[in-house]
Amino acid sequence: MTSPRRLDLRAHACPMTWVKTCIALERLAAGEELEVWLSAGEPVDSVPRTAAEEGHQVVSLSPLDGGAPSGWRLVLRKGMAEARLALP
Amino acid sequence: MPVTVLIPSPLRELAGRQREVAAQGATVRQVLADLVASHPGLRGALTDDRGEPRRHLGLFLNDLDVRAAGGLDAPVADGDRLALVPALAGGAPRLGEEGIARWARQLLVPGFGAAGQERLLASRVRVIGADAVAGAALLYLAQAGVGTLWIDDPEAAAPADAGGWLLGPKAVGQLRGEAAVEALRPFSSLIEISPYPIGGVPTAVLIVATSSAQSLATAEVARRTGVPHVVVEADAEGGLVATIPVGAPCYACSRGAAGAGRPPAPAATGLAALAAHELLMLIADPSLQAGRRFELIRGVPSMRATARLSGCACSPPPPASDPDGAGAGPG
Repeated sequence: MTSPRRLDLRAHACPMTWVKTCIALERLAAGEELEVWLSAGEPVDSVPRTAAEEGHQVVSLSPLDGGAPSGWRLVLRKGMAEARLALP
Repeated sequence: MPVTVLIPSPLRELAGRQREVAAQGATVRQVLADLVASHPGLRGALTDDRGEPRRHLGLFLNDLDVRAAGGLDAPVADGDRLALVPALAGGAPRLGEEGIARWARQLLVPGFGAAGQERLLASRVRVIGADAVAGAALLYLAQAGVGTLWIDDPEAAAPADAGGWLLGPKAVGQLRGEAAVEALRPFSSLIEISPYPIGGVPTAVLIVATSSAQSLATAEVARRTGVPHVVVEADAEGGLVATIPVGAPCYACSRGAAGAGRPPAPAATGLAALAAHELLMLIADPSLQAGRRFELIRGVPSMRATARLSGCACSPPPPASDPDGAGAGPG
């Protein structure tokens, strides 16, 4: 299955916005980019922040041009390190 | 040495549509190399960019997990049968929208993710025990999305069992395994829950046995068949949880002198829930190799890595290139 490089999550609320973003990132290789469309408010506040906290790079965040519904275009670059729970 | 390699149906197109292929080698690693040399189409499916077997490729030598037989350098003999089991190939369940919504929170657990959840959905977990202590673990496993949950407890439910998280007063007198299946029915829309079918082959086992002897015996069976397992023993004051990935020090090595006998104290059900979590992580990340042990003694928790007892039967055989065993460590 090929990973989606663009997600339109404008119809979703938190935490599903981050869950779906996280799954899409998991299926990319480190360094690959993912474009996520988010609605204004909590999603566009929390998804970029959480992505940065998890080690991914926020490449850009800009308003979507025209069309309805409106929203934001977030471009993320997958980070190198994948967190995992290790046994001692 | 000629070895028969059993090719799973998803890979047969890459091996001339053959169910079995003969390959040569003195170790599992050499047999795989010979297989890939004679059937280059299998290379990408079996090995990574460095030529190492892919992380989620299961290898079973004469029905024993190769990780329990000494790893890729385990020796092979004439007539041995090596089975290839690609863990996620050939119809493994994928997360749909319903699954993503159902397990959204745990998908975010570091090290778990969509791949871990899909391994859970593809897994078959046998839980030995369905009493008040085991009930907490059963609830945890069912809600976490284990694909097939087999409950193995032929004893009748006692009044004490109705005081746990799972079974109510109506279960008293019923077989505990069947009563637990019924109690878990609300969670079975996305997974299968049934009494353990005789002869069923699990991918992981959770042991919440009623005695130390039963724990030791069932854990030894799991070890011998190469199945990762977690064991809970609890008593009125506390207890232990032992996590035993394939190839790790066995339960007899890890258990020490913990006692048996288990009234369903809150600490005991907490230990069972912890055991369920340990089992979930073993399934979600098959690369985990180290065992560990949690203890709760008079309310004080502790955790440590397990160590192999000298001379224990669970010690891996020496590698083929070291026939005298001079390089074998304690594990």
